[in-house]
Amino acid sequence: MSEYKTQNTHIYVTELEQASNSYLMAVVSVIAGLPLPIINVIASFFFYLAHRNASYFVRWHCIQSVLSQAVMIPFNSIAFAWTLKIMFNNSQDFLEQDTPNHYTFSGMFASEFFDSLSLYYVLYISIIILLNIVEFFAVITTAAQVRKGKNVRWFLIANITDALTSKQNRDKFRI
Amino acid sequence: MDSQKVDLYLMTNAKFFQPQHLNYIRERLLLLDESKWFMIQGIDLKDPTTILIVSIVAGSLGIDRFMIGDTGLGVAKLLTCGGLGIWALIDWFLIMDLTRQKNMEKLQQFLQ
Repeated sequence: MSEYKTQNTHIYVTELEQASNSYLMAVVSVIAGLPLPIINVIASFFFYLAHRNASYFVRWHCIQSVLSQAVMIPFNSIAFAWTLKIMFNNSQDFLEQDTPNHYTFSGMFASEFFDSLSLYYVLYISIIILLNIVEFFAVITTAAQVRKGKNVRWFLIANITDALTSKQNRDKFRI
Repeated sequence: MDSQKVDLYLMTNAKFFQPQHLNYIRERLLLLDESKWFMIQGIDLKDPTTILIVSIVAGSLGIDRFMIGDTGLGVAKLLTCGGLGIWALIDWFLIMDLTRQKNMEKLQQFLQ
């Protein structure tokens, strides 16, 4: 069994900034990556990989950031796939039917699209949008709080993060 | 090495390194031979703020990676148009610390 030094508990201001940046970058990548629901997770994961030799505090928050994004993947993916399915089914139906001349493609498509939306779909999408908005603002709040030096722990995700984050001191230049 | 020289070096060059590494640098510089002073003075340290500006302006071309010495990753970033924008975006938040790490690696060659 290899020995390792436990991490120095003193946290520098730049480390607070690094930890906060992990959340901030997730927010920016959500905006840049819309409507694809996975871009922010990929970005957060690579941000963690770049910081895997950082201090325990920074790594902990990077992993919490990745997990907080990852929680939304299944819900967002289902919503994304469901929307695509409805759109492609509609366009397929539209191509197969005899189109009256006085209908434009976009008008026909939009009316077909909105007619075909089921109540379940509308409910699901509404909940997903609400969840994403809540998560978005929670991440922004977390970024602001971490920069101030508060260790924000997300319900349940923080416990998983505790288990995943190694307490080994990986920064060889830190004394 | 003379402690006054070491403190002068740290005062003028602190922004090029991560704050948590300054204690290590100070200890190692104090143990260092006086003859290496000019070599350490001659190290080309990159300014993290300058690299950040380059990353924002020309990040998708990988110029920031070339500047800090990551030629391979710079070519990869150039060929993938900044990893389809994702890599470029990550580097906006990453490049300043990466620059400080590279500066530390350059200095470490003389501290050993």
